[in-house]
Amino acid sequence: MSWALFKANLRVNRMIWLLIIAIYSFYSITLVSMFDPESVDALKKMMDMLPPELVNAIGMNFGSTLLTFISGTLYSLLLYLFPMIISIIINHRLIAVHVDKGSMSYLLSTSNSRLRVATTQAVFSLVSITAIFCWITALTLIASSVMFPGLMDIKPFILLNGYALLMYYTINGICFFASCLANESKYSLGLGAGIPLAFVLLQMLGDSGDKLNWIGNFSLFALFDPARLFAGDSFAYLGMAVFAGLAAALYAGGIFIFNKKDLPI
Amino acid sequence: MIKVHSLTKIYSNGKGIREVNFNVKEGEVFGFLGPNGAGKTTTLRHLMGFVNPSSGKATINGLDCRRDAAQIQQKLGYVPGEIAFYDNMTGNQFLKFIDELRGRHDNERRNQLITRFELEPGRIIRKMSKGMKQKVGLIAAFMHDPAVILLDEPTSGLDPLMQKRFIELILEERDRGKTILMSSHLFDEVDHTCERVGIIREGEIVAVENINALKGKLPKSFIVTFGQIGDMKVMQNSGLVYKETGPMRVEININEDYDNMLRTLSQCHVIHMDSPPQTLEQIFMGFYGKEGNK
Repeated sequence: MSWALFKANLRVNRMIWLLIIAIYSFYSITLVSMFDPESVDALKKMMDMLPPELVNAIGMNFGSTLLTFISGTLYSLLLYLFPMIISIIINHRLIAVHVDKGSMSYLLSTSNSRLRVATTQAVFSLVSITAIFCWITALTLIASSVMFPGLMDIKPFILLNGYALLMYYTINGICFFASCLANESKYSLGLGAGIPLAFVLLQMLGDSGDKLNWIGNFSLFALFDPARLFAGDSFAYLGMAVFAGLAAALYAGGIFIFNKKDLPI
Repeated sequence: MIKVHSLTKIYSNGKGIREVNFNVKEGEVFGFLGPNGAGKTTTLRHLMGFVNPSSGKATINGLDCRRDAAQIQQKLGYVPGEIAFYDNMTGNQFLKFIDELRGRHDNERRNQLITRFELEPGRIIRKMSKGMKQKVGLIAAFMHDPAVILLDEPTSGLDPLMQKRFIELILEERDRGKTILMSSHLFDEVDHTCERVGIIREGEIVAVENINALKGKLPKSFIVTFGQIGDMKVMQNSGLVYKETGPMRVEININEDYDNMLRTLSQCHVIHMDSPPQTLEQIFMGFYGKEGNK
């Protein structure tokens, strides 16, 4: 770990990070405020008028409690949007941009080993996404307790965030691995953005109709199923374990490759 | 101090370096000369531990350049051929950042170097000219007072005054016992600073020589304009190698026989004489010529 490098990462990435946090926070508060215990049924009826394929494809599944409402909105399509932008951009910048631009040669010429540089970047990558989920969990809990005191099931909500965070460790792992593997920006971005986005597309296709349901199973995100988490299904815990294992393998693999490869700098 | 032994690296496109051998002694300034794409940077990348050799190895102070890179770099300064920094930092912020990465807090030498190279350290790096960025790179490489310094085409972008300051700095560091390896594609650049030079071409070392011995061996050309028709006759009988480049103008090519040329020219009426500066191509031509004669 190099604290100086960690601080420099903060400096480089703070703008995009704060921007995404701001938008994400806005959605969180807005969605909580949209919840109306009386009119959930009315909202449901309105959604029923839309073609079910469309409703499913955008992942809107409201349920009837504040927890399921938030889980069906903030933790469906939006979950694949804002934190993913952070994952893709920050991980791309952590390693691949420095190799492509050549500034990696300065980092390595300061007697910091490759292992140390890569480990620092991996820690930063994990901390940045963890901080986002901590913030959004706290904010949503505060917002709901202010607007709807006592209505939020706090424990399952925190569990839901842990589940989502573990999934994001895997997504981050993919982006970080791509960043370590690629010597050129375009390959790092291509893999780091392409693979997670392909999973999102598979997921949307799978959700859009019964006939296409099988496609969704090819998506990594099929392992993320809040409904089964709330039902106490062991599938969700299995999913968490797979996410954690994949993330660990991807980060370790990325660091290993970066430590061994030829650097064109 | 720096030992390169049978270093070979072949890239997938067939380019690379083959069986590169040379040593740089402690306290020596060594010039590493070759045209663009000859393998200078590839060799330096090995010394920095950025790439894995296909075979052979390089060591600095007895440490393996790839395996012990981090340890070597504690006492090494490096100026990469292509400069790229954290663009949004100012010069000062960047230099401070590098010092922090090295775990250093002493900034006396940094300030001396900033004054010496007249750097405006408050400017954002992205907005700096190429020469100014080069200054930042030089200061970053020298400010921790390293024992070994690797420079990849260090004077590119510097104006003549700064080039002079740079040469002064190199000579000073040499006198302080530093070991310096400097790559260049300009003969003049290494001429002023280096004791020995290694010449690399298409991935292979062509020669490692003392700079004065090298200069002596190099072919030299003189363009001479004569004032009388008869002078051309004298030239024809002189045995000198020359070709006519215009009316009454010849280009004489010599190796070491200055005497013969001077004797011949003293019999002529010379109205103009010029010796174009040597380009690297001519130096290489000299080496091929030698190989051809063998």
